[in-house]
Amino acid sequence: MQTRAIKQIRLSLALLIVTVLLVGAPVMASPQTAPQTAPQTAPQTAPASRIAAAPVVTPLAADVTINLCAEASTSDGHLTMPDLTVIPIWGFSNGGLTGNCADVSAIPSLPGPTLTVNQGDAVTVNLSNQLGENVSIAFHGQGLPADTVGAAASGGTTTYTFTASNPGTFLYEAGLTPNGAKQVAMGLHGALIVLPATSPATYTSEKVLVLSEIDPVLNADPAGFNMLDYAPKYWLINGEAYPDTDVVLAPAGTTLLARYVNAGLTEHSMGLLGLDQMVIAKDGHARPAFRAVSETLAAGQTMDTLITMPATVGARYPLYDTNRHLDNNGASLGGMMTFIEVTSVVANTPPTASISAPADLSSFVAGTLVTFTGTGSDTEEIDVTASLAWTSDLDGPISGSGGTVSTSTLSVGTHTITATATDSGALTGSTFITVTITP
Amino acid sequence: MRPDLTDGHTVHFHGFPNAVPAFDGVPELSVGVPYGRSYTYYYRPHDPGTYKYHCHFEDIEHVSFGMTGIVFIRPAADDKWAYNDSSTAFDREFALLLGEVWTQERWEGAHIQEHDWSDYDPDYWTINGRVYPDTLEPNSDPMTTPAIPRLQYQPISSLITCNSNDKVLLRFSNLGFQRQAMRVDGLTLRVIGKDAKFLGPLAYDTDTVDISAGETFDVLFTAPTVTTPTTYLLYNRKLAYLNNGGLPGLGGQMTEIRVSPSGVPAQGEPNT
Amino acid sequence: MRSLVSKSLRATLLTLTLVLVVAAASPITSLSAQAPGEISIVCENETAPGIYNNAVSLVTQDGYIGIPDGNTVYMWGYALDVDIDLVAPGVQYGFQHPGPTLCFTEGQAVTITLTNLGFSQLPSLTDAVSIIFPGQTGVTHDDGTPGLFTGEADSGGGTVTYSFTASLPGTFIYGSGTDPQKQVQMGLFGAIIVRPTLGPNFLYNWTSTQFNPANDYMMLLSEIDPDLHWAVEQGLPYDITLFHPRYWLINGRSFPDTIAPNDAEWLPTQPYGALLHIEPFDAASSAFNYSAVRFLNVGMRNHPMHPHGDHIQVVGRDGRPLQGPLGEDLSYAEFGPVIGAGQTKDTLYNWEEIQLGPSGSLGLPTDIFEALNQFLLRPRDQNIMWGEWFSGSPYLGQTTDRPTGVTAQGECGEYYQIWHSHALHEAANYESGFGGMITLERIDPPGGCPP
Repeated sequence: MQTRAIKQIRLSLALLIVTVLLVGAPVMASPQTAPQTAPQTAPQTAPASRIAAAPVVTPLAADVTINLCAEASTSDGHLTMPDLTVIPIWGFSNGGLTGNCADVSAIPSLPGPTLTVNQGDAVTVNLSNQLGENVSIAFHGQGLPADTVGAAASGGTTTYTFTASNPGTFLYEAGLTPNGAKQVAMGLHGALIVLPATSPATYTSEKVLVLSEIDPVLNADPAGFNMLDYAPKYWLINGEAYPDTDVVLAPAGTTLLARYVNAGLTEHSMGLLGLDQMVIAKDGHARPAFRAVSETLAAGQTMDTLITMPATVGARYPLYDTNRHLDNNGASLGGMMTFIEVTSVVANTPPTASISAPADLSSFVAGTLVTFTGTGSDTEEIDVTASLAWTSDLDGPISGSGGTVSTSTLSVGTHTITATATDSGALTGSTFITVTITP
Repeated sequence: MRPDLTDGHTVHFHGFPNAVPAFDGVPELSVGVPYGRSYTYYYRPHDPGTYKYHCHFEDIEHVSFGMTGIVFIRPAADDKWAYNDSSTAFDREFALLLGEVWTQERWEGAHIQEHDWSDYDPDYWTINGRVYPDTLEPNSDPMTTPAIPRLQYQPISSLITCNSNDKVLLRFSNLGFQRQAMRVDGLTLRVIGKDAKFLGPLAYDTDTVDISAGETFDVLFTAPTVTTPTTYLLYNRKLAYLNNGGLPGLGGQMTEIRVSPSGVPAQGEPNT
Repeated sequence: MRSLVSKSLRATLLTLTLVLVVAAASPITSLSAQAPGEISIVCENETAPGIYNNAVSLVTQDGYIGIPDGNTVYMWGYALDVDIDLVAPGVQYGFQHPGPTLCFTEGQAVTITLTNLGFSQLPSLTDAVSIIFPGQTGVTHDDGTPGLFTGEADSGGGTVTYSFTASLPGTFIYGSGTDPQKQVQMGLFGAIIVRPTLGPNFLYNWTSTQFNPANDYMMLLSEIDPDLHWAVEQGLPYDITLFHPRYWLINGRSFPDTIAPNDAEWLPTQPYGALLHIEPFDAASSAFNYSAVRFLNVGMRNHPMHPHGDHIQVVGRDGRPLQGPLGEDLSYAEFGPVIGAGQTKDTLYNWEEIQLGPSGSLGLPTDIFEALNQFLLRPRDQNIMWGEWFSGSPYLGQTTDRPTGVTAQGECGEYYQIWHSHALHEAANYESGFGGMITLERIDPPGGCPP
């Protein structure tokens, strides 16, 4: 039994760590963060190489819990366009335990975090709403009727459960509460990926491409904005406008699965120069596959295409909106454009993981917020910290992923906390510490 | 309101295969029907499916002002099939004609002003001539005053009701000028026909009916097994259009699919 | 085969000529007897029937086009450089809109050299130009200045040479890869047709894509915001976010100019018509009489086209046949083909005499004659408004006497059907309806109109 003094010291320490981490926390802008899934098992076939830091596919369905917060950005989370215009957003972020999202160090992002689950998973999503109006979530393709009520303003919560029966690419976004249309346009949307139970033979890497628009007049004053005046000035892929868009990397001679998600309010036609794409699914439903160069996605629609890379390492191919939204508020060239770049196929080596906090053999009182910090390093890739998955041998996966995760629900006992990094070749590296939770 | 108007009119059966100009309704290429006269159009339909009909006399104005309707042809094999194929069997069918209203042009029409069509900018979006939530109101008879009197001349309901496991056919037809993205959250739609052609092996599942001006789609869904009444929203995901005149809240091209465990009587007419 | 016409290079003279001929031609142009070759696709690099020059030289030009509402619009364009193409000496190619249609046979090694001669109306402009080839693979470029999308030709006579193998049959767009929002809108685009090894009467190496080579049509869809063109012409700034089209074109013309023949003298800078000119499909005939209609969309908007008369059969997208990975037939029929921005759609079309037959020859029940009598008996002249393209008879190939004062555009009782954008405000020239993105399909009686 700890004395109050010691408790206070531990609490102060924990708070100090939290404060330090809040200030220095990496911006959760990458859409490739993977939330907790079933414990990792060894791949049963040749590793599925993925550009996204997705966990290894396991055929065993599991229970998955995802906690999301709906928040307005503060200066940290505002978007900055290539012309330096700062755009406030509303966005989802990872984390957000019951009540008030105050314990979340993550910052709302546009798009929201990419949620990756496995086919067959029973998924529970807890939404905590920090906005000043009701917010619900629509998980497209998951069999849920529309939620027109949602979580109440300023701290309300609600929960969604569904079984991710069908593999594919889906959009999740603010649902049809009375202000839902504006909420989607403000940034409350993201990609939901349901990985197939069996490894695909047709592609070895994949890339999520969330398409969206921004009307800066709406974002400056959503309450006063008339949606009849909606006139986007910025056109984004994964929350960035060219030249800030991510380059899509894919190894020579391999096939890339492009997972397009049109979170915008209008249709977009995505095309390639020098390559073509085989359209294999829309809205997460397989279609008779056909080849095209540019194909149009309706508003809110998703599309999966296969793009085969030529052998020329270093070659770059434009991937862009053939409706020619290629400007940043009128300044060319910008907008909904990026490049696919062919990378070399080199022998992959596993990453390494390290845990920097808390110290090994630390102890906390049950209910304390414990924040784990770590990094993932890889010889072939710049940084695999975003892929870090944290598990407790007593409680299972810890909500969140990446270099910083927090939890206050560790059960009493002595935990082995393992951090596992995964590279784009699905090789892993782990390390662990021991943490004790006292009553 | 405009007793001075003496426009001619025509009827164009949109999509009728191998049409002859005399009965195709394009006045410059055949005939227009003068004010006060009548003309008979003759058709022998060979091809089942969902089409539409509209005036083609000064069609930008006349279509935009509402001279529009859905027409569908039943297959010879069975009245409760969409095409001559048993896989297209349905228990209930609903016609959903999409349109838009540009109030500025309506004001101009009422006040004898010209229109600049290149400024086309609608502010209301309709299914069967009504905006949400009027789309949920029952059918009425234009010759009598309905429960909501202002809907007397918009008599067609878009409310979809069915029982668990019912097969429901939605006949989408777009006579607006814009592309719309009609989707349902929580149900899978199966597109079995496009432009009055049975897709056969090319039928596909979707969540979104991506429908441009002039297209039609035949969409089947099987209502899930529910234990309590469950409501699904069918709505236009072009969210800048999902309002009434820009006012707060939801409006426009939206309706509900209400699934009951049982008890919804067999359907007589479409859209009931 | 296109006839060579001497054209003036002086922009001012061209403008004058254009203003005069547009005034003379509006609002309706009449059709004279046309052989199919004068209507369908013109392969500008064709040196002998079916033989295509695979070393093409293009230059930049500028000029004006006419819209049937009387307006002219300042445009940029690609034009053939006479020095390299095998044409009669001394013949100059001037500005044309759209750029020249280029045809190749599958497997040809193609080089296209672009020389940036600038734009004569704007001698101080230093814009580079370029060409990108969506749908082609393995495009390389020699010389030229590296640009974002491709190599570019600098102003003041800079050149760039693009090379690729036309390995894929189909219909393709070529257009500027430099500041494309502005340059493509200004007119720097054109069509490329690649004919499959199977033969010029097929769209792809797929026997189901056979068509009558005399009926090979294209519909290249585009939009014009005249304010943008005015700003460029005057050297004023323009905000592309305010892009607001007022004109909608097929093959560089707005209706009714779309139904004028290729190389109509009154449209000297807009050489390509969009009239379909066919005969009824006859299953018993040995002549294979499907038409090919190749849609291309270089605009910033998607366009929902609607052919009256019959469905079209879509067989290809962006120069790829609609076949699955195992050769499955994915072609389908539609009456509302939507052409996405930057996309192409290859289709087959025919019209069959099912409803009436010649003079009611299909043994229809007698009640139809009640309906048809409204054409034959007086006082029909008060009972109907007579359309200009109406022969007077509902039957193909028949005419009747017309009421006094009715203009008749038809020849021998042929049928006309309309093809148009069903975003109906695009079927207009600015605010005037029955213009813009419209063309006609002319169906002659079997054997064509008598000479």
